[in-house]
Amino acid sequence: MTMNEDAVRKAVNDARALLAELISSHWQEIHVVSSDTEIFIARRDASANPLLHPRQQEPTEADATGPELPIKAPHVATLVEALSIGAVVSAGQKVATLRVLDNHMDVVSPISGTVVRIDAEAGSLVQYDDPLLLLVQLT
Amino acid sequence: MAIKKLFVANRGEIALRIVRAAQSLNIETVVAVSDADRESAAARLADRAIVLGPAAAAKSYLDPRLVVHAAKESGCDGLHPGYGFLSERAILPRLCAEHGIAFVGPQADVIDALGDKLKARAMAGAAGVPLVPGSDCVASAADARVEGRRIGFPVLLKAAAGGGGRGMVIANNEDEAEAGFHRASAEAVAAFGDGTLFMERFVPEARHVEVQLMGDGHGQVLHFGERDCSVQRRYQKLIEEAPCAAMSDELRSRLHEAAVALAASVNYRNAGTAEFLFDVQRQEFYFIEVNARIQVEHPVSEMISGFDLVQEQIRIAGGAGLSIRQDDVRLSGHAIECRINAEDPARDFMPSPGTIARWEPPAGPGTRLDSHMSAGATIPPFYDSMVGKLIVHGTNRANAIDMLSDAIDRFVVEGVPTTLGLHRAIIAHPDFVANRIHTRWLEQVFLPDFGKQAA
Repeated sequence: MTMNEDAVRKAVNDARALLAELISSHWQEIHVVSSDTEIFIARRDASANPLLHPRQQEPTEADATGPELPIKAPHVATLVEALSIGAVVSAGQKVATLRVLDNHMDVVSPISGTVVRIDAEAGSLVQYDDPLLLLVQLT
Repeated sequence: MAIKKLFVANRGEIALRIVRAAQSLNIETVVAVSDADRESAAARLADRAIVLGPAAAAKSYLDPRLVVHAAKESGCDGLHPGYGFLSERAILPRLCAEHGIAFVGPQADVIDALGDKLKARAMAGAAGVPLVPGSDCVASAADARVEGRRIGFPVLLKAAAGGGGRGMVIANNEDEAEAGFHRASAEAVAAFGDGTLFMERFVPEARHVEVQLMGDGHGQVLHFGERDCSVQRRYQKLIEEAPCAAMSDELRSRLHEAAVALAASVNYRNAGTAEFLFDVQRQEFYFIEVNARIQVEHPVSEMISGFDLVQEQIRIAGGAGLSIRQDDVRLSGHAIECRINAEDPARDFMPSPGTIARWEPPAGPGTRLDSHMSAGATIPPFYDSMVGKLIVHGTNRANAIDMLSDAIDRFVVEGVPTTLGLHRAIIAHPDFVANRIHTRWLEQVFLPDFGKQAA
């Protein structure tokens, strides 16, 4: 850890206070950037967490298709199925199905994009933060 | 069926301890980790590590469905919950049973029953285990005098609906019982809207003793002697010893018999600990609760018995019976363990996560360290701050204290503050050396002075 305990404690307290604000408001998301911390809190269907998915550089001419966004496993699970390469999704649409014991759950895309790569095999055990597939944002 | 591949659903030193025990039995291991523990010692030693979820325990170690899914899909046929986290949640053995995994612990129904304080008390009573002497409802001040005399002063008047110390009064004689009745009843009405009171014997200087048990699930139960865990801060044990040097052999035998009888009465399976309050003045013990898991302090019992409790846990979960008989359990010498936390005693025991810069533990005959730390290892801020347990085994208590003192002196830790210095001061204190301690000694006697010295 590079943060000392006071900073960690302060960050946790700040995050709790912001969460309380978000819950009691109609806001969709809160994003605070200060000199030592950056906090992002959002409702389920709000935009993707910019801390997990750092802002991409301005697209260059060679990269005209827009920024890439890996979709990752939110926890350990078995990958039941995922969309195929070339599939086009809009924000909020299902891109993969996971299973934990007998429960199935959807993984939804936070952006509108095209599937350009599949990173996990259907039927395999995926761990937390493992990439499932790669999307390229529609520009 | 003996377990072939064991899933370790825990972290820290106990995860490492379980992996090592399994490897000694030639069992493959899979360790569950959170995102913060990817590089843990247990994860590196195990055959495989699976990242359950993010650092927050609620989304990783504390999610029984993720744990059992990972165990099943990684081909494990056994699961060890360690201590803390999900170890005493009946849902874990239930999910394991549904998915064909042997749970290294008691039956789900037994965990449920023991987790309910009133049920556990009733079970103890039915097995003939002494409970704290007390009364039913105390209806009047006159009743309070009579009941107090019968129970023996000092007594505690408690609100039946209560908790958190409200509606609770200590009475040292009949007059105080009468006055206390009116006060406690009024407080109970104000706090809970119900003035019903009951009385319990109050033990001002009690010790905490507990018996290490191991059952086969069919009524056979072994004990591995008792431990004395009276050095506590806020109900957290800091130092544990085996045996309890303040107890007569005659009382010790009765304590062991009571604990075994209780566990046998529920066909207890696997490791467990029956905890008691020990009234030293009266030389009596009273049941507190049963912890249905392996405990942090199990090494002191292993040291005096020379028996590996975690290996036996794994064998029993795999369907084997007890590997030894009570006659084979020979207890010798005296063992003391201190829990070393990355905390700063000078700053109200503030947890101090960080990176260990230097880690040079003592070694030698009779000295054991259960730890997942090493130079460069990180203590994440998300979990408890224990970095290890230092255990010594001497010929007697005085010898063990000398050994522990020497071991602490040789222990070099840099990078984070630890409680090693606190332990050195505790075991050097005349009260500890003379064994005049009780469960509130640390907070009432030791820490106030220690605080002054630190300041």
